[in-house]
Amino acid sequence: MDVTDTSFEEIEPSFLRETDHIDPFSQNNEPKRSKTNKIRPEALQSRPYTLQGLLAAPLSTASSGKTAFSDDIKTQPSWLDDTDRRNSKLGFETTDEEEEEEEEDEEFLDDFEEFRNKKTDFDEAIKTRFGTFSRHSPDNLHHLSEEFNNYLNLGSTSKPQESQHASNTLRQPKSMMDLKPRIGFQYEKMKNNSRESRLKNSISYGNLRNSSRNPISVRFKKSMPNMVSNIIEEDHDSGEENNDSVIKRRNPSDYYLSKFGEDREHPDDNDFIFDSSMIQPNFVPKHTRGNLPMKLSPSIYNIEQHNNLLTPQLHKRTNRNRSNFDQLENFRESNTSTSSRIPSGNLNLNQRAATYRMRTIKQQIDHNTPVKKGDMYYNPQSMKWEGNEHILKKFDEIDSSSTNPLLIKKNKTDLEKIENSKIRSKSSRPPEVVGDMMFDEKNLRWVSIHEEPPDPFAGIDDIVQGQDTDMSKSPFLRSKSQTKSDILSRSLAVNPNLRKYHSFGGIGNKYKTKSNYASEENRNTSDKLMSTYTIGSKLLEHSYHEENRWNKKVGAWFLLNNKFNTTGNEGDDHLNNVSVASMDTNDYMYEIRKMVLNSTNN
Amino acid sequence: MSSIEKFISKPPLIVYSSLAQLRYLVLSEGIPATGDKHEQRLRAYIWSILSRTSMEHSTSIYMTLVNQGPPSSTIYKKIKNDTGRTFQTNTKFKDIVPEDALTRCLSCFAWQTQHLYEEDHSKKNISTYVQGMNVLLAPLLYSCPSEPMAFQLFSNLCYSQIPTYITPNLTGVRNGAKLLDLCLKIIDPKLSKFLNDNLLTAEIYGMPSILTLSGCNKPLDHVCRLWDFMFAYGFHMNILFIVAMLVTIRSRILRSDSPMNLMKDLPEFDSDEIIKLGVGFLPKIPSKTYSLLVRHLTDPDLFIR
Repeated sequence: MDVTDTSFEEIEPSFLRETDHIDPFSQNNEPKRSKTNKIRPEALQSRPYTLQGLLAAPLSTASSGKTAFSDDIKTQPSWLDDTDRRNSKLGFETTDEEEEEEEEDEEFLDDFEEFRNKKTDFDEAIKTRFGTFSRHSPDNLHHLSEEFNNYLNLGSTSKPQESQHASNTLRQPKSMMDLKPRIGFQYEKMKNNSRESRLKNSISYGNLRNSSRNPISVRFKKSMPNMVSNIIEEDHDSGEENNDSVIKRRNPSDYYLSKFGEDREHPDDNDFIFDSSMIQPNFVPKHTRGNLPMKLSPSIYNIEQHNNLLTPQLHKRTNRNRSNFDQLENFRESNTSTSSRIPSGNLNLNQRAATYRMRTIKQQIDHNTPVKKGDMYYNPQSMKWEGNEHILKKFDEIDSSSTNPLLIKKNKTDLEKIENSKIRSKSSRPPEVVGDMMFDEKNLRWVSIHEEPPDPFAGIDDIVQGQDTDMSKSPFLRSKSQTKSDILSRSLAVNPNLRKYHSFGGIGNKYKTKSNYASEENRNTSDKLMSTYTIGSKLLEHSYHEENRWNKKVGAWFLLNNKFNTTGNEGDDHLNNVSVASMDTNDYMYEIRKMVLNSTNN
Repeated sequence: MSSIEKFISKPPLIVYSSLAQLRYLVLSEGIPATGDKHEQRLRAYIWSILSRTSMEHSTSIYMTLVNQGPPSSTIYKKIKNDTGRTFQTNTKFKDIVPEDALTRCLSCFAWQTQHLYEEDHSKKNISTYVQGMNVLLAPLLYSCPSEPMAFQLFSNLCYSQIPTYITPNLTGVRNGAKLLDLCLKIIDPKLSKFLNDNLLTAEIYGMPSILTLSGCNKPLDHVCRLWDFMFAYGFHMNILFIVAMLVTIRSRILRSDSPMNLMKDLPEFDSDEIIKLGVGFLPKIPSKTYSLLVRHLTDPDLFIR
């Protein structure tokens, strides 16, 4: 149902419609809105009206195109000054003219627009629609026939008032499909003037418009996109049904506005005055709401100090940890609000369910969202949980209290229990002997009583320092001086042809033998050799830089290398191509002689 | 930016003719002496273009060879023996080129030659190391902005330009000495006769200058400019340049009681003068002799009596 399709068809109608029928609706709604909404007219005027409509539609109603229409109607009217209105009307007229010339698609829109007009202003819609059919006076005949022709043109044979949405479903471009039936549905509801059905209807309706309907969430969207967008989304998932009712409870004006099948979220969107209290999710208790430096971006603001800015997870946790009184306060607050509007126990339950669901919000942890859980808080910079450092102090105490290492001590007691019979010497002080083995407290190991342990490194020669570092270096950590293996791997990566005559291991072995030979002869010489045949990263970098520079500057001279490089080598297969120049390639060597002889002859 | 630098910065339309133009620019304008890094780079670039030495992958090739460490101990000892003595009195050179760089490059060349031999036994006539290679390498390291580039140029120079010079029995150098005698006889018969009378053949006095392509002579900056020309028009011109150097000091040689001392350590030369002289000798050199000059660098079967 929620087709997040912000196609062009969706956008344009919204624009058309808002331009056309501003006045009647605005007259109805203006007093209310001026009370409830804190919208500055200047801000609206600052933007070109048409642009505003176009922009507003896709932005605010990502879930459906429908909201765009309803929103815009409310947004514009009263605050638009005359010039704006004129402009908008002008815009409409031009589009109207164009439509007449346009193809079927445009006519669809035209019709849609007409239909929308009826829907927007329901009083007028009822009057025009039903009035037209009730009084079939000759005066109206012309208008009717025109309308009928219009429908004929569109290929629709059904009567307008009978199956408004049915015909529309047939006619509408795909993107409109989901809009029209709903409008029809709503229209029916309005006729019945039944609030319950309206609410039921709002399952889909609210679903579509949730994000913009809830004034709080709208404000969230603007101020704290990162955190709040998540919250809103979760709202939809969890509290779909309850959403409308919950919202209604929060904002009495919403209820009245809903009479007209519209709401006033768009003004909020378009021209938004930030109120810090509005940023609070409802489940955050009142006393935590305070003056918050909200203009700061979350990344530069130390959120940990402000519990009410932390993630919902945190709030949930703090709610639990708080005293019962606070919890009761929490409930009382919601109770009063509900009872004031809807004195229904069912809704109270619903609300509880809603708040309960709201608690189970999952928060995605990213670099902007510090998370706090109990005493622990997540530090996004270090990507660590912090707050339990004191636990480590226990270990310090253990270390200081006993001289013997903890694990060994335990082992000792275990040994005494299990192998009691085998223990010869039970003296409490070291050395401890078990069988032929004696515990060496100093080195924390068991050694034989009888003989000196053989040196495990006896048969292994000491490794030359340079070679050792070469082999053990991680390729990811660049040392001060580029290691040989690094260089080799890099050079092989650059020039895979080199593998032909040097395998990686082969070079390593060769190198080893050479260095061993050198080290046997003289340690000092080997160190010297090392330094000679070790090229620092700086030099290497410089070399690559110069090579690139050369390539940039005169590389073009070697593009046709194969054709003209008769004497030399090619870079990528250097050794194979090194060849002794043959006689016929030495033409250039005769050039100077020819030049000189020519000049002397002349 | 000099016109020669502008010229090499533009991609050549036709490489063959562009090379000819570049040669002419080197001859007519010359490359500025190595004063700063920028000019150093320019020289190396021009040398690489003229010798058709691509620097692509030069660093990775060089690093792979360096990674193999020192060559066999005998070669390493030879290299180490010579690198320490390379331009010992030239402080500017010592500042620019550390001894380790010379050792590394020569070791790399030894490894490279060895690998080449392992792959193709017909190339056994090229030595892993010949005394004097250090001096041959020195101007390259001095002129190139990076070690791998110098090594690449050196490798190209040895394998492609003067392969007969670095054979174990130095065939090319001996032929070069014969040609030096021959050319001196053609150009300055009087000096040639004087030297012959003193039993001074080119094989006695000329070998270092021939093998090192005049690199052993001073000053190094002028050696580089001499090399500019030789990279452009061929290293066979080195023989004629040696003749030119002898001719410039001929009066001193003729007057000298011990000409060998004078010729063992030739006085400082001016590259412009030597190039002018050397090119001026060309009309006097017979075509056959000239082709021998060209061939002796690369023809391993050439033997001049």
